Amino acid sequence: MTLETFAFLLASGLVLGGLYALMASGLAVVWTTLGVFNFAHGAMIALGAYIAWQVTQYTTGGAGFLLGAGVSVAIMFCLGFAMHYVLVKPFELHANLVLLAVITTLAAASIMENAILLSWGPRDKQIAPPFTGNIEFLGTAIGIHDFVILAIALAALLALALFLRRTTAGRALRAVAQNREAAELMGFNVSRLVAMTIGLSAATAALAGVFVGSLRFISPTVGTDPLMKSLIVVILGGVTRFTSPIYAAFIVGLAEAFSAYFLVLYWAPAVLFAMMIIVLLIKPEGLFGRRTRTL
Amino acid sequence: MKYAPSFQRTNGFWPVVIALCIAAALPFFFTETHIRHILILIFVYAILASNWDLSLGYGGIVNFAHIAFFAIGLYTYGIAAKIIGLDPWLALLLAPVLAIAFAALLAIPVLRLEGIYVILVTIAAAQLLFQLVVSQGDFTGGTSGMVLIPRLEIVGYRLSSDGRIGYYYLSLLLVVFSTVFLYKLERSALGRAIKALRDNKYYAISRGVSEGRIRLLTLCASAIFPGLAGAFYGAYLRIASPDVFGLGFLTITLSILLLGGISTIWGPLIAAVVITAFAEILADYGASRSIIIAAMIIAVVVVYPGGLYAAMQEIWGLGTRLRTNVTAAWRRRFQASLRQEAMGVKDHLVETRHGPVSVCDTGNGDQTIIFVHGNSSCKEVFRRQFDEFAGQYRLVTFDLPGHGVSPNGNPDEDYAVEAYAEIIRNLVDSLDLKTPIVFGWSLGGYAALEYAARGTP
Amino acid sequence: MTPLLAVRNLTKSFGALVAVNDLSFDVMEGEILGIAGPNGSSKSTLFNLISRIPFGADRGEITFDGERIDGQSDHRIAKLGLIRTFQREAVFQSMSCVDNILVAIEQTSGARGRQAERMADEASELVGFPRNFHNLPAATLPVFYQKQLMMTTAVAQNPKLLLLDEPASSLVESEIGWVRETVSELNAMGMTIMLIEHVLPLLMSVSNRLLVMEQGNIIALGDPAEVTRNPAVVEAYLGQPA
Ligand SMILES: Nc1ncnc2c1ncn2[C@@H]1O[C@H](COP(=O)(O)OP(=O)(O)OP(=O)(O)O)[C@@H](O)[C@H]1O
Ligand SMILES: [Mg+2]
Repeated sequence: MTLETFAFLLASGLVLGGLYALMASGLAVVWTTLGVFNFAHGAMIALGAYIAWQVTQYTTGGAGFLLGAGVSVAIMFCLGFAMHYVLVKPFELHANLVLLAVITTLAAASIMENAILLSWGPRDKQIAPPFTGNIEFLGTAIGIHDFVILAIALAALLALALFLRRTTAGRALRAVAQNREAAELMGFNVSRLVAMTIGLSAATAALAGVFVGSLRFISPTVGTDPLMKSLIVVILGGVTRFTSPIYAAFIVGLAEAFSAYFLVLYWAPAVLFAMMIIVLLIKPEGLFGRRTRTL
Repeated sequence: MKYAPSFQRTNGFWPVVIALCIAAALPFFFTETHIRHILILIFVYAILASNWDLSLGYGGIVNFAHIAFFAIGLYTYGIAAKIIGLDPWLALLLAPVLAIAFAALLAIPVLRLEGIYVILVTIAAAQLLFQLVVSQGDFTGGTSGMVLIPRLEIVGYRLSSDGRIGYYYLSLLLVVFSTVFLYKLERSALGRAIKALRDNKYYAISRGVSEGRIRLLTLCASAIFPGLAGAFYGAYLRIASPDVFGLGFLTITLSILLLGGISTIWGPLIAAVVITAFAEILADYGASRSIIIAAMIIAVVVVYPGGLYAAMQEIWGLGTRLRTNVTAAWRRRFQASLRQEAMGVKDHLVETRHGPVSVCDTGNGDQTIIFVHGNSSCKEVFRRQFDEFAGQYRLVTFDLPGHGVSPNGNPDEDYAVEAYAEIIRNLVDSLDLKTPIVFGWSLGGYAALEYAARGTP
Repeated sequence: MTPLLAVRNLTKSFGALVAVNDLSFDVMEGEILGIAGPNGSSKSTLFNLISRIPFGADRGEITFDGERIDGQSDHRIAKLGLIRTFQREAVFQSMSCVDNILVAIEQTSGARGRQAERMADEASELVGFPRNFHNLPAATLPVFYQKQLMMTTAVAQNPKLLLLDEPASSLVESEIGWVRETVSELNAMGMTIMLIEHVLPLLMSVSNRLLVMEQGNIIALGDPAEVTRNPAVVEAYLGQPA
């Protein structure tokens, strides 16, 4: 392998890693606070991408891209907030919460995907990447856009981490994740906090959707593959700490980029799933996790 | 002693017989292949969902690779019958064997994990299988799937002839076998061990239940009929596509199971009919159809987390109450003479704190005897006593609420010994019975004792 | 007499907490060994380690009826006839009472059908669990009957050694009388019993020997009357004399 291919694979692996980190942390935040796996996360990514695409139809260029991302994140936050009250709240205390939430989030995913199909049609779309041009990186040309995406993704993750650690609302969220009853007794409005968590998760999904939409084509089911990838990332990383899925995301991103080069293309996902099963068998709490639930 | 009536004597017997007769007769009313296709789909969903109930409901193992059993059956049939050239019927029987083998493999990680991790590892296993199927294009046709899979024939007769009638009855047969299998299993020693392990794992182990063995058996048992159904599906449609691994198929099957009600066996069968039929009615609405169905699923889960089966039982209970009330009223109105003949006096309704009760009041004498009948009986049992004592005493008897021709009571308040004693006191007051002798038979005896214990001799 | 159960150097730690500290003792065939000790002195943990439910020991040897059991799997130990009950009443709540008993019989003895049902009747008779409750859902029983049912399922397995963890907790006086009678009766039939109990009069009246634990150690073992006069035991229960 030449240095150029190595650099190219490295760069694309890192960009993938950044995307996966964004998606997986959105999933992980909901999982740790609620103990619920959100199957609508993939559809949220798709919806976020379409909303941004719609905005870029009116305003073009870099401004359009940023505006689209902003609008999409804002709308998705509100949607996620509302989703809590419809999909989770009604049977919060039911013994089968995990299972019921699986079915309601699956149903919500179906609603979103079909709503996309109705409003935007089945034709593939692409969000025009605002930054064209390449830069030289260890001998290969890498798109500036890729770097911008990586940078924004990392910045968003940092912002999320700061929010969870430094602000009162963030600390309250972590309190809910650690011990819900105690948080309730302390007088927190747990319902609103949980709704906010899902809102935040939806916002990260929207951002990830915007990036996916500017790198590839978007279709109503564009979220399915990212959902599965985030699943792998979350398993590999574990959800003990906010940072653990992030490391795992970069590992998966790099593994995907390199294995696609070394193995037949079709084998790469199979390898990832096999890896996931093995990790679950040996260390169910994830590679970087300990066996407790905190953010 | 264990009270376990044979199926013929349970409440469910006649509904099942009627449903079976209807299912057997349906193809004569619906000759279009399209409608028969829908019915066959219903049967396939019913098998998938009700067998899923075994692992997910009874076993408490949230196995998201359940649909993979179906997929394995489908591809086993396809590959064995088309590529290896095995006899289609043999291929059909091979399918569940491979599904069981996969279930046994799946048990290894499932055994070591709990809760949400079981969901995740089974999703991963199903996805791994999906990736394998897609990557082995030479055998499986890759992403585009297999076509022209051999069909099933019985001595040269194609099951697809005459508007798919053969496939219709084959699928019906599969549903019947699968349901009998589940019903028997649930009542067997294995079924008890499965439920015990779900209810309280450590207690079950301390009572000799082997966690590993039972979990393994649960998964394997839940794979048999989905494997068969998958092979049937391949022979019926003659295509095998990797779409069966998709979230859509899983969502529909899971909603059938949850809407029907977990740990019920019958619930998923009913829900399969309801949801598939509903989806068919909306067939012309394209994408909005999926939205409506998904919204309906959310609505049902939110309003009724117990599922349709629980709802049906409640409605059934309401219906029974309504029916008995109507028959009681009808008898009060039109069969009064019959009762008068037996008792020698006409009965009438007397209002009490626990609703109106039907009372017979006859004979003469200063001393009154009140007769109180037993559980599931009525005031007419005392007709001999009425004949005998009518000359010496004033005789009063009545139907307890919900008995004889008295209207039904409120189940929360009126069916209790205290309530019966209260009714006796109300009667004593309103009929001016002074200090009666209260004669109680069986449950009536408890009521009489309670009446006496209240210091109202 | 030969020891039915021999425990040697049993040790278990939870992180930094040494819950059971190098414990060794014997249980003789046919005796009732009472176990007392303040809350948190690892009495229940001792039962956990012996039965391996839900976890086994870090170190130590356990021999039951001439067979090493510390390496065996949890349900195997139960099948050998070493049966435990739990401190909190436990039932299979989705099943009827008789099914609760049948699970225990079917999984240990292999009996099925009528024969298993007869054995369930016998066990109920022995423990005094009312037979007309058999077809009620176990979840609807009051606490006392749930405890009775748990004892019935244990007895139905025909144990050689029965580990009873506080069968009398949260019961009233007359119900404690039932515990006393049942325990004596089972013992008279030849069952060896280890009994954890906080109700001291009960423990004193049925035990052949008394074992007192504190913080994972045995502080006294012997004749019940003598043990209660032991100054270390008095101190463990009442604290340092002023
Ligand atoms: N699974 C566990 N993980 C960590 N610590 C444990 C665990 N089980 C028990 N402990 C600790 O071990 C000690 C002994 O507990 P155990 O329940 O055996 O006491 P006990 O003597 O049965 O008390 P009680 O009389 O209240 O029933 C306690 O300090 C308890 O907190
Ligand atoms: Mg204890």
